[in-house]
Amino acid sequence: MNCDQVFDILTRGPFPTGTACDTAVEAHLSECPECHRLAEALRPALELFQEAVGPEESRDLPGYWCAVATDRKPPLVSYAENVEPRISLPLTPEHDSTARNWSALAAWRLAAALALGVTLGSLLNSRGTFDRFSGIPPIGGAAAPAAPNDDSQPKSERQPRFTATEHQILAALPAACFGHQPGNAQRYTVRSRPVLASADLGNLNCCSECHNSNSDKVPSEATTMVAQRCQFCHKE
Amino acid sequence: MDERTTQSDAVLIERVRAGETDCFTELVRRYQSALTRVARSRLGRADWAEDVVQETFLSAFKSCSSYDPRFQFRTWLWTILFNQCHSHYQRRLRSVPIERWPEECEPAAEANHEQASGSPLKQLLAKERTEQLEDLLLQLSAVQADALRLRFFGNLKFHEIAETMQCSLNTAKCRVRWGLMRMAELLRNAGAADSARRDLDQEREA
Repeated sequence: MNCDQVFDILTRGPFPTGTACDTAVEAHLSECPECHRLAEALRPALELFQEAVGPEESRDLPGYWCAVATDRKPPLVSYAENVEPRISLPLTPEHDSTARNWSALAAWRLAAALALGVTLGSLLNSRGTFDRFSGIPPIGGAAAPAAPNDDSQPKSERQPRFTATEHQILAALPAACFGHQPGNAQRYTVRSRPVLASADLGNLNCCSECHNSNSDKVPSEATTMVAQRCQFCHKE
Repeated sequence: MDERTTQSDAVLIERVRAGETDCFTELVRRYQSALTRVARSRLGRADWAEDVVQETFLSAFKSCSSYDPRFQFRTWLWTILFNQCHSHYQRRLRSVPIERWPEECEPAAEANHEQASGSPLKQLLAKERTEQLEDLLLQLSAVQADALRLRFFGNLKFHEIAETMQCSLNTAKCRVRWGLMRMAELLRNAGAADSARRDLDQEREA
């Protein structure tokens, strides 16, 4: 009996099997230290399998009882290619739903890949425009905002870093805000101010003007942040 | 005894192809349990597993007229099962998520389980072991876990595993071997962690 045969028997079911080959396996294990080590190493896993899959439930339905987590994801492995070579006749839609499913799946995959590509492309493109024109920094920055009117610093360093939440708020700005290069259009130019006062909001010629021009209330933190952002883009 | 129970898969599938569709019942009887077990282990839910197994048999039945008898029926069936598991999972990803039915909602299953397992203590232990096994399988690579499922739940021979997974015989053996080794390692680690926790508790009590 060779090592392969011993491994086959050990992984086939409970050992000793109660047959004549048990003696041969034991003789091999006593002579072959590698197989002996392997058998000892595998023992807990094999026992677990044998305990989990009892012989009493081997052929009754349903045969496998396991309460498992609902959020698990099965492995995304398929053996699709294995089906088709075994079918000798040409496949027809009526005769092979498996092949049909896989064709549909392939089409879905292709469509999804194309859609993803287009989306990513447009996203990257718009993101580039967004960054270029608005100067909004990448998500995740935690550094304190730099002074917007500090001309001694290069522009890239003057740009404040925002958290993801702040970024989300900023991303909700009207598209018009990003369609113009900051500072180029006179009508979008506003005075920079560290904190907005409600009395001054009427002078703004940007998002805050629309949102707060008729309001006597002190703007919310989010509004202030958006307004400051406008001022930062539409600098003097 | 029905003569069909003693006939080989090849003979039965030939008879099905010749028009004796009743013979397919015997093939279903032979493989339904093992297929359900593997599908359940792979998908994690009994209801999905039953759906997939049903689709597998349906697909096999529809395709049996074009089945090539040079290949083994059972490995062909297992391959269809894996494909159905995959496509079922993909379909579920696209559909509205469905909450898993609680255990109490599977009375037939519970009753069978109780009947099969004997005492409540044995039942509880078996349940724990199966949960542990499933957790360990999830920690293996997908191919290793599938190879182990085919070997232990499906009782496939190594060359059948190789055929089903479209790999060489040695690869199939290696997947089973390394999968088991990894499981054994994980079990050892879990045991070591448990004993360390117990020691810590004892020290605290002291």
